[in-house]
Amino acid sequence: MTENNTPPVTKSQNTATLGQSDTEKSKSLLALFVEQFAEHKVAVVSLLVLVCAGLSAIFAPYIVAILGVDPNSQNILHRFAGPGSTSIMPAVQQEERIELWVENHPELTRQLVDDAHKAEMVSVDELEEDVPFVLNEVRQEDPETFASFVSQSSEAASEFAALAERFETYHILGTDELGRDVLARLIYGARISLMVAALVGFFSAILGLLFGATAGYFGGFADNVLMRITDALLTIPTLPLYIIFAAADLGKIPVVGEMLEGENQSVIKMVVVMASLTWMPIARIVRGTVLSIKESEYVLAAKTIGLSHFSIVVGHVIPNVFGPLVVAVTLLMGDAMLIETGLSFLGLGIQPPMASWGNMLQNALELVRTMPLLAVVPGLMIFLVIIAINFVGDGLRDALDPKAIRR
Amino acid sequence: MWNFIIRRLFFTTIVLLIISFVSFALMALMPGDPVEELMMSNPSMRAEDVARLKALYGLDLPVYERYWNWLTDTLRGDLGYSRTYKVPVTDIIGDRLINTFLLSFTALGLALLLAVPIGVIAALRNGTKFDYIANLLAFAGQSLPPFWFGIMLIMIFAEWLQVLPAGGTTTIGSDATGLAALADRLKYITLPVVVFTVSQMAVYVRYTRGAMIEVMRQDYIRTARAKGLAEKRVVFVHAFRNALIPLVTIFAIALGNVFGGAIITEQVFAYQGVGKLVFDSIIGNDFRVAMVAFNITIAMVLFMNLVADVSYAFLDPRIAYK
Amino acid sequence: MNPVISVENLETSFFTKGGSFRAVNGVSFEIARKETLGIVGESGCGKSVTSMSIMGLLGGNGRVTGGDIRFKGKSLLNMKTPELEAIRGNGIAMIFQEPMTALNPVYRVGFQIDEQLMRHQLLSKKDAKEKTIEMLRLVGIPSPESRYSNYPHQLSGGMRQRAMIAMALSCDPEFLIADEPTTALDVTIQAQILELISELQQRLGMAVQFITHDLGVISEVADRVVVMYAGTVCEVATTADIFSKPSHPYTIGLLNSIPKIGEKRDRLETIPGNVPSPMRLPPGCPFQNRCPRATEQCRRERPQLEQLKEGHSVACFNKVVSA
Repeated sequence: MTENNTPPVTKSQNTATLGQSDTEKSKSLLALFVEQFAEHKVAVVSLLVLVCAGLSAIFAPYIVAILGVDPNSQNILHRFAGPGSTSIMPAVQQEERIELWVENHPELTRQLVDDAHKAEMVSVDELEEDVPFVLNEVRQEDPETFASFVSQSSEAASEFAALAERFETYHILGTDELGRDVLARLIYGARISLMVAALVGFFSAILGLLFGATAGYFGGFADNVLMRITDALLTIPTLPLYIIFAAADLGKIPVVGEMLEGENQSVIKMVVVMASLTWMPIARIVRGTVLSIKESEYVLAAKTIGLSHFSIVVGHVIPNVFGPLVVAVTLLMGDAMLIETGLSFLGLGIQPPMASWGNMLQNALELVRTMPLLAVVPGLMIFLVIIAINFVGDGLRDALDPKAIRR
Repeated sequence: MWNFIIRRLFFTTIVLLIISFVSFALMALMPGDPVEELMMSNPSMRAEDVARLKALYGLDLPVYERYWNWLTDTLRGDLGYSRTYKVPVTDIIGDRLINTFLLSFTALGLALLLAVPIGVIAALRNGTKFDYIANLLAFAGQSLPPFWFGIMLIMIFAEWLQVLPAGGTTTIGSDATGLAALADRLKYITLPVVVFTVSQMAVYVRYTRGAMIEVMRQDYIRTARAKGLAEKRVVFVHAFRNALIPLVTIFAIALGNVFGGAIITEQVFAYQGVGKLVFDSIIGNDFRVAMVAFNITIAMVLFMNLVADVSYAFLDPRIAYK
Repeated sequence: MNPVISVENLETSFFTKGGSFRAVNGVSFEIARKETLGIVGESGCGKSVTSMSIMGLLGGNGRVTGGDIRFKGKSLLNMKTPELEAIRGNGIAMIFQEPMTALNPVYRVGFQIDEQLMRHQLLSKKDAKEKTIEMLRLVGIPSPESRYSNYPHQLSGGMRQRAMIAMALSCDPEFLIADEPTTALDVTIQAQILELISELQQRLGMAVQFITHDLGVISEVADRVVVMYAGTVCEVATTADIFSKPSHPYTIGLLNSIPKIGEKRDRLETIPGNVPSPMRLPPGCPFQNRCPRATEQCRRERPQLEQLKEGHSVACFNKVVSA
């Protein structure tokens, strides 16, 4: 005999009155979906991570400008500088910058010279044109004096000081083998890697939709042919093929060669090659959905009401295929990032000086000795982003699974 | 069943021919064909010499003819010479194959041995902490970039702890034999195996777990319990056998990817296997070697895919006994 | 009379993330040897859950939380797993609705019956095979020796169900639970299966619990009928009384909704409204919002089963009493 530890009915007791239907108000699908996704705490966190990454990638130029760093400016004298170090622009470059400034701002220069004389920062017989350079030297040797000079002088001095400020860069994460700021390259690397992943996802989805919908809708011969191609492509191991594509000089093919001009060449090549080898699972999903819609009974019912074939398919297929499609594309983007970074690591993907997290690791084996940070961080970023993408994909899958929808 | 196999073999051969042609054509587009290289280092070469050399190498023929010549040569067993190593291709391929098989089979075997039990247990304890952690780790393993993971391992074990070598296949210059040679090999193979195993394990754990969860929900499991069978029997005889079907398929396919998948790992660890050979030869424009290495890789994949399909049909009586 | 199985005030609850609820809310009945009890009700009324509770196969988040179930006098709820496992398939057997998914697709039919025999009756492989073939013959499967080596998908729907019955009865159970065994079958096959079960029941002397939503089937196989609604018992009576003198408004509604031959109607009669969700059961009688005879009392109190006459009980404050 069991004890009477029956749980009380925990939901609110609904005293239904005669005649009133007892069905609960069904929430809109979107609300249901969001609610279910939110249950996956990990997925939500991952989504936030991705949004942050995405935003920093989009606003990369601004972030970099605020921090005062540049992903491309090299400084051989300050290679492998550790995190938190400051690198100083080579003297020659500094002088060039000053000259340029003097040329472009003659008014300010005159004002500056006046201020300098007034404050007795330079000797009276110092040539006017040398004044800025002398001031620069003072700044380097005696920063306090320089600072007080600036604060007591006119706007021109402040402008000059701003110029000079950029002669020194504070590297939050240090510099790489060519003296470039690591953080800046990481941010730009995010930009490239995320962009490639997103583009691949997008084009792959389009290709998949096209092939899958055509195969499913028309059936018969078209379906057969398309599916054969899909299956064949699915069995091919991608990495060796990527290597050949990447290494081949596609410029020798007449039309393609022209398309691939310019500094974005490697990016375009990557996206095209990857998109053309990843659309297959999507095509499968789309085809499956179209087929099942075609044969399902409610399409027959719709036909009896007289709707056109096309509108039936479009109307029914899209909402049904949307869920699995989104999940598949998300996971595909994770894969794309993995492949892109892998190829870049091998030297076949994004080419330097363009930064990709993958190619930042190209010389990692040597870096392990000289600057471990540089070997760890880019890869860590890749790992975190990919795992975030996968979690979001998983969360989406659970949220969109009709079987999992509870009352 | 035989019908099925023959049709698939036919289909596979077609695909292989197409791919070998495409790769041939693409490689022909690569910069660095030998005559051009000669021309660059010797600008005073005369036009007639260039033409003569091109004819000698067969480089003046259109791609189709060159491909056909290559195909017939290869099928006759003449795999050509390596431009980089200056020896017949057949001399190089053997060792590389052994090295990669050693690496891959060890890793795949280990991965299977560890992952399947974990996956099964996780499925049986669906929703518990064990399941949650197993799933999380599997996720991490799948998202882990293998080249970075390899670098991290090198950093820890080769640089800091200094217990394992950072790369290579065997100790250079060593003439150890037998057991000592094996032990030496083991040192070099350990880290690459770890990298490979971890990424494979992640996949197997997820598949096993998924398959088991799906199977345990089935009606026939309820029937088996209703028959009064012990839970152990229900799980291992009734459930697992059904979960095996997709698992074997996945495993066969993974086996097929043994060369392609090794490319990155072998590159990171400078391990002289077929994967590294594929990469080096394509980049180094060592044409004959590249074609052989690349096409072996593709052939392996296609073949194992066929094996996967056949074993699926074999294991699932619904297909075998039509 | 010693009932083979007796269920007393059974309460089974499910604990899910969305809340917990009672799927079976105070159900009682008894079944004697050679007797067939039909359990009738709509989907979701708790009839399957009752059977699973008896078998102890509720799964992860279900639990018996009240009442008792006795098999041959002994309480099943107190038993440890090994004891229960020994009874399942042996003393108590069960057949399910969908024979295709109920049989393991990767093992031969013969194997699946053998293993039950070997487990409970400790037969050798050879002996088990013999008995299995005999059972297959008993349930009317032609050429049982070759069917023994077939896989489930090689049998037709009717044959699969027969195989399932053979499997269930292989160890001479004293109690058989048949959970909608003919719902998925053609009408003609249905008739054959029902006949088979009756025949075997007489031969083996089993108590049978027959669950269905089909009143037609009930009229054919059941000696007594239990009508269930939303986890509770509305009415218990002999088959004859249920059909000729139904008392509970729900039973009457059910019977009225069946179109009868010879009767001319413009519209099919239905019971208005929907079954309440088990998580939102109203206090009082669960049928209140669909009942044409509901009163204030029905909304406040839950009616208990009261005996109308010998062998006929009803749980209703406003029951219909026919002459």
